[in-house]
Amino acid sequence: MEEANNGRDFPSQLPSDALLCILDKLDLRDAVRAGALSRRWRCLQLPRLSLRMEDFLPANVSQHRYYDDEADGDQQQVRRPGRHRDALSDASDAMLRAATALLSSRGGGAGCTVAMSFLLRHNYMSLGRLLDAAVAAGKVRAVDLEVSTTSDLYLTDDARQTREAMAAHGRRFRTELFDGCPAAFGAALTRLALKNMYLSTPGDLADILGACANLETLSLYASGVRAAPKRPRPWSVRHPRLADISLTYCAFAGVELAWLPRLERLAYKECGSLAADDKKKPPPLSFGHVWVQPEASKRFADIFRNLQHLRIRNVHEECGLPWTMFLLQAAPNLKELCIKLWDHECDFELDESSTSSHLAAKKKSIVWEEVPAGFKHYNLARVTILGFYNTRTGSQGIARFLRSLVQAAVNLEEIHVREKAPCDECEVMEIAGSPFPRTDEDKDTFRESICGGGSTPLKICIVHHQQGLNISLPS
Amino acid sequence: MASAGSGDEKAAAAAMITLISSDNEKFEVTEATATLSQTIRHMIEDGCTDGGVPLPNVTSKILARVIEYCKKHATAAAGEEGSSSSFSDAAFLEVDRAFLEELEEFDDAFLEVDRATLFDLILAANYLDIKGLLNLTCQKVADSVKGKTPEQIREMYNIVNDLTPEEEAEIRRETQWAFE
Repeated sequence: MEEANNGRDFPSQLPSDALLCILDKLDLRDAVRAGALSRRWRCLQLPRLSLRMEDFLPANVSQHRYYDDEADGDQQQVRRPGRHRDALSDASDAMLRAATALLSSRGGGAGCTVAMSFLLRHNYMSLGRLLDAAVAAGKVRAVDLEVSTTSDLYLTDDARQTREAMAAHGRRFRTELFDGCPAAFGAALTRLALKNMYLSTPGDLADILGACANLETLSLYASGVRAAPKRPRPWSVRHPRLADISLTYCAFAGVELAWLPRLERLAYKECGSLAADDKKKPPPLSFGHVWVQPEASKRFADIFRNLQHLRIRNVHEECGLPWTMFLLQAAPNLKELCIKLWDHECDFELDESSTSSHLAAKKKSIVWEEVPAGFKHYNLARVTILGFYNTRTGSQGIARFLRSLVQAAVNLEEIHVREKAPCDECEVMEIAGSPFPRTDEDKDTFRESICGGGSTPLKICIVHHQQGLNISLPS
Repeated sequence: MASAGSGDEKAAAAAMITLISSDNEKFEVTEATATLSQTIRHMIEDGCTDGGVPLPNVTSKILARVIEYCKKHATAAAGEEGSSSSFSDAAFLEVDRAFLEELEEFDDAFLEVDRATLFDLILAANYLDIKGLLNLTCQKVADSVKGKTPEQIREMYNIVNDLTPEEEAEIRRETQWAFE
C-alpha cells in the first residue's frame, strides 16, 4: 500500500470522531505520543484514559503468570507490603508516573472516564490518592476501577497461606484504599472489579456499595467474604443502580439479592463457601447451590422482576431442568435464558474443599414448588442450551423441558441447542454415539419432540460443534 | 418445517432498499444488510427510503466494498449471536469457532486495500455509522502506528508538523513518560 501515498495526509482528512476511534485502539502510551504529531492531533482529548498496570510491564512478562512471593511470605510481609524491586513494582512505578502526568496536566472541562487497573503493591495508596484528587477536582467524570492482587489460589502450593494473604489484602483494600479515597469510591465510580482478596465481613461489601451510589457493574473474581466459621452471615446485596453483577470463583457464606431494582444481569460461576475448610457441609446457598431458596418464590419475585437476561452455568444432569421453570415464574420480564449444562468432571475447580462442597450442592435434591399448570410467560424470546447430556434419559429430559418451555413461553422466538466444543483439558467430549441430534432425521425428530409437530413460527437452531449453522425456519 | 442452509433465504423474503452512490449508481440491498448502518436504519425507521437513499459522500467504488462487508456481517448477525442476544461472551456460548474464523479471514482479506481506499472506507463507515466496519478499518490504521515515534508516523502519513518548537518542548515535558 506504500505506492498509493501520493504525498497526501490521509489521517488529517478524517473527522475528529474517526481520529478518536483510531486513538482508542492504541494503548495509552501510543495514543499520548500521537498528541505530538501536530496541532490537530494535540487538540484531540482522549475521552477515556485506560491506565492498566499490565501495560507497563515489559513485553515478556505477564501479570497473570507472575506469582507474587510477597504475599507468600511471612505475616509481617503480608501486612506491610515489601518494597523489593521486581517487574511488578517497576511497572507500578511507571504507571504512577504516567497517571501523575496525565491527571495533573489535564484541564477541567467536561471530564473524561478513567479506567484504572492496579495491584495492591507498594504504591497503591499513591495511585488511589491521585485518582481521588482528580475526581474531587472535577477532572474525571466516571471511574472504572479494577484492584487485584497476585495472591493466586491457582498458582500457589499452599492454599491456606494464600488465603491468609488474600484476607490481608482485603483488609488493606477496605481500611486504607477505600477509606482513604472517598471521592474515588463515590458517585463517579461506575464499575468496580476486585480480584484475589477476601473482605472480613459482608458489612465491608455493604459499605462499599453504600458509598458508590452510581455503581453499575460489580465484578468479584476469586474474592468474597472470609466469614467467621462459627457464625457465617450472608451478604445481603442492596443497591439502587447495579445492573450487572458477576461473581466468579467467589466465596460467601451466602448471597442474598435483597434489593436490586435495576439488576439486568447476574453471572455466577463456580462459587463456594469459605465458611469452611469444613468439607462435609455444603454452602448455605441455594438455586442449585446459589441464591434462591426454593420456598421463597414470593420474596425473590421482587428481585427478579426486572431481570431480562439470565444465564445459568453447569447444571448437573441429576438436578434436571424443570426447576428453571420456577425461575421463569419469578422473572416475568425475562427475555433471554441461557443454560450451560455440566456434563463431565473436568470442569476446573478452585481446590479440593470447594470441589466437594460444590458437587454436593449440585447433586443435592431440592424440592421446588410446583409451577401451576397452565403457567404462561409472555416475554421470553430466546433460549440457548449449551451442551448436551450424553445419556438417553438426559437427552429426553432436555427435549421434555424444551417442550414444556414452548408451551409456557407463548412469545418464544428462538431456541438454540448447541453442542459444546470438545474440552481442551480432556477427551471426554468425543463420545461415540452420544445422543446429540446430528443427522437431519435426528434433528427433525428432536424438533418435533419440542414443537409437537405441526407448523410453528419458532426458530430452532441445532448446532453441532464442528458444523455450520442449521436453522429451521418457519414454514 | 423447512430447513435452510443459511440466513440468505430468510433475507431474500425481506424488504429491499436502494442505495445511490455519489456518482449515481444504484445498489439493491436487503434491509438486513442496509441496517448495519445506523444512519440508514434511522432513515428506514423514519420512512424516508422510498425512491432510494442518496449517499452523496460515498462513491460507487467504496459503496460496493461497504455493501460487501455489510452482506457478510448481516448473515453472521442473523445466523449467529444476532443483535437479539446480549450474550456476546463467546467463551460462554462457545460459538462455532469455524464460523468465527471464516469471518475473521473475510475481514483480513477485506482490509487488503491501498491506503486511499482504507481512508475512504473509514470516512464511509463513519458517515454511515457502521460500527463494525469503523472499528475494523480504524484498527488497521492503529496497528500501523503502534510503537512508532511521532517522527516515524509523520513520515509514514505525510503529516505536517505545525507545532512551534516551544509547543513541542512543552508536549514532551508533559508526556515524557510516554517516550521512555
